[in-house]
Amino acid sequence: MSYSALINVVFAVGRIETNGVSLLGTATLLNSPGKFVTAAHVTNKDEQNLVVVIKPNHLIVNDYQDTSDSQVEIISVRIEAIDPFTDLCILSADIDAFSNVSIGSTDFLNLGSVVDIFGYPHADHGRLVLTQQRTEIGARILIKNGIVKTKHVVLNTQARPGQSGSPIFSAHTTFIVAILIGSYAPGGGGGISLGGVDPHTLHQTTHAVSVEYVKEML
Amino acid sequence: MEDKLEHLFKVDSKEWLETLPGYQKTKIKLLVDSSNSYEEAAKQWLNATMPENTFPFGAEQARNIFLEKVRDEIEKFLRGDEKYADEQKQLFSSSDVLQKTLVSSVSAAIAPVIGTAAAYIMPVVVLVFMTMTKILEQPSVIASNTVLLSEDGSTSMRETLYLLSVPGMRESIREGMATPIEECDRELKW
Repeated sequence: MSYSALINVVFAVGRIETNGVSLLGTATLLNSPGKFVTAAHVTNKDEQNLVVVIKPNHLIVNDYQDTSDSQVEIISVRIEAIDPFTDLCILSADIDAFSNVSIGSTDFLNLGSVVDIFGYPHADHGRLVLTQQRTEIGARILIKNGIVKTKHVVLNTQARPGQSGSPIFSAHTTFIVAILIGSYAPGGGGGISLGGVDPHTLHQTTHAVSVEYVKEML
Repeated sequence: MEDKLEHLFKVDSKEWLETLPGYQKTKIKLLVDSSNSYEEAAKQWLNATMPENTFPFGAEQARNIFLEKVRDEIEKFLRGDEKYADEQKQLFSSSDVLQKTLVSSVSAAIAPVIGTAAAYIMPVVVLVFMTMTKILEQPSVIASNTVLLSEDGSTSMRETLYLLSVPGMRESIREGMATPIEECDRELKW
């Protein structure tokens, strides 16, 4: 698949604050009008002033993205479905646009399968650069959240804040197989912070939840 | 309005689950079955944050929503607090209010006050309604020497106590229940 259309598929999620829009994470336009998928924690389960952010001057995915260009357009979204156990969330906007992505599953993947991640790393610092990472599946794992266990994969690459909600494509296909949610951190991290960075999260063990759970939420 | 509300709560408590979308219904059933408590299930839904040993890469700090706050706002809505007067009026102006409509309306009204989304708080509203229905179904011990009872339950209990206070009534009822139908008179003698 050509990723040239992804500029109209993968967006940043933000919240309107008094000084402008704060970027929160990444969302993907689904093959259903006005529906986006993201990670539940990106929204903080709060839909007030929640928006999807578009860079109107970045029309070609392979073009140079002007990091000094702060002009954005926003689309208001609401939380249509949310599951705190899988950490998945469907956002809904009053627009007719939809994409041609298909919803797959981590069942499609094997160890070593090549995948592509698209997202907005460092969005917590206001950086709005659509970035691709190519990596392999390091492991297929089940992770508990309370009494519920869900399918995840380990991505052998480092991720940063802003990438939560990023779609993981089976390489060269239109199939999204997982949604990035964070990195492995003993006890969930948050114990130490050096310059706003938890050193426990600085490694190549990134977690993504199988996107199959989205099907029942649509 | 009270009549409509009372009617809505005259169901089996588990019927409220049918008002939820499938993916939430499955999870809530699992939580209720494992904890055997609607309150505990509601707390588990609200406390579910991230999968184990995973650090989130969103940009906002997670906030906690407490069950007590949700219950408080539901109570205010049902009591007709002026904060929810418009929503309540709109809801009960309809001739046919269903369980699903009540759950949606309450969730949509209280979500912005709590700082969350209606879709997220809906299972908690359902679990609170299930608790209320259960309380109305049967007497609940609310303190070591105090029992909470619905109006219907109280009336029924007083009727039973009155009948049993009539001398010979208990024996007469038992004898009647034990009499075969063939031996019963077809015509009454009074």
